[in-house]
Amino acid sequence: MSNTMKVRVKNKNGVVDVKVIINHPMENGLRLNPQSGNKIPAHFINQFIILVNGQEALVSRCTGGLSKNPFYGFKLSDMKPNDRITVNWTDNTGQSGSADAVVN
Amino acid sequence: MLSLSSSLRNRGRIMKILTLIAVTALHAISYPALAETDFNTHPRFDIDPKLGVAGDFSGTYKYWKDTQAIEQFASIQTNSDNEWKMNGKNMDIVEDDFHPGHLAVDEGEKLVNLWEHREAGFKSCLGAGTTTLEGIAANYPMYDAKLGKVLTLEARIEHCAKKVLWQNFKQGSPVNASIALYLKSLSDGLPIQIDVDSGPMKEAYLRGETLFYKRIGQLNFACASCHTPGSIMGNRLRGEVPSTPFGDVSHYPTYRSPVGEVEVLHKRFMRCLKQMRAKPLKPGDPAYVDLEVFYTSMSNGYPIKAPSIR
Repeated sequence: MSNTMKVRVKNKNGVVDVKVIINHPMENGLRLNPQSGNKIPAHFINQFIILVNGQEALVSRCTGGLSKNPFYGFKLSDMKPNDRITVNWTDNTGQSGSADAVVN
Repeated sequence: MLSLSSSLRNRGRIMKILTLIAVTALHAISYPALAETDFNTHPRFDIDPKLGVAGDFSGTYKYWKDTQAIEQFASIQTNSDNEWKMNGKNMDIVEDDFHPGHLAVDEGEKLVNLWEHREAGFKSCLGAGTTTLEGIAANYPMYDAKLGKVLTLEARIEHCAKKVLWQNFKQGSPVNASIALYLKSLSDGLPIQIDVDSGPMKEAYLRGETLFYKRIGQLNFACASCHTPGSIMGNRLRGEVPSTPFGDVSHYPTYRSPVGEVEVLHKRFMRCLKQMRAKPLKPGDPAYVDLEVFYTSMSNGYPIKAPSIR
């Protein structure tokens, strides 16, 4: 469940619009459980990397400030058809996810 | 000390007399008014179930009746006073049509195929005989003669899970909601068609109509108090502007961004009741089913949009 993610790419004259959505609870570790009063352990994505044909194009280091089920949208320029875009994320508990998309 | 207590007693006496006078005066004023107002029901409107969504009483149907209309009236979306006239339908055609609702659809598809693989017959139970699930969601809620009751889509999933899989997919749970959203997404774009002309569906419709106008809770609100012309509809209710109830069912179950999860219609009813300071019922309650029949008949003819975000 936590590893489900979706990537969509749209090519417009070499500028590719990339949209990524990740299913993740993004607990910042400060919230309290209303029933028990204990802190809910932190569980958030802390690294988000975009690779284009295996090379790093974007690295984002994030914290618990992001919302639940984060959505990333960005544009990549100088792209050619059949370029492969890979999206990787890792969270603070060691879980990770990955998805691929090919530029049309 | 003595003089203080006696003065207090005197003051108490005077206050008692004053209150008595005030109470008698109030009675004299308010009794006739009490007799004239009905505190149990909201005044009714003529809603023709045959017209479906075209019978919209708010006069805003022309703004959101189809995609062209929504695009044509795009300018009023930016005006905060008129935004309610779009009935939230502008959210359906935003360019960023990419949200966790899509993840829930995938999850639902995975679940249906997984359980069909484990226990053959789950799909044919969901489709009430047919294994093609495309388009079935447009006809819910429906009367099931075998079970002898009106079933919503979520109730059908709960029933099939219990009967075929021996699992409890409770209504309102994430599993049930994602399967319901998957089934609804298979009917994306098809107009809602339910028949409330006769039989148990008509009875459910009439009960739902009564519930729509029934005042409940500490604030003595009915659904109609906020969603009929001449009420709060179109005016500000704290930060929001209530809109028309017509066409609302077409996008449920929806991904609610304030809540962060897929919400079925009955969960929305629960949230409404909580805001009316009334005790919410559980999802799948017969009263909610009746209300859903009434609401769905008000969306008859409007295309389903799933997955959606609100």
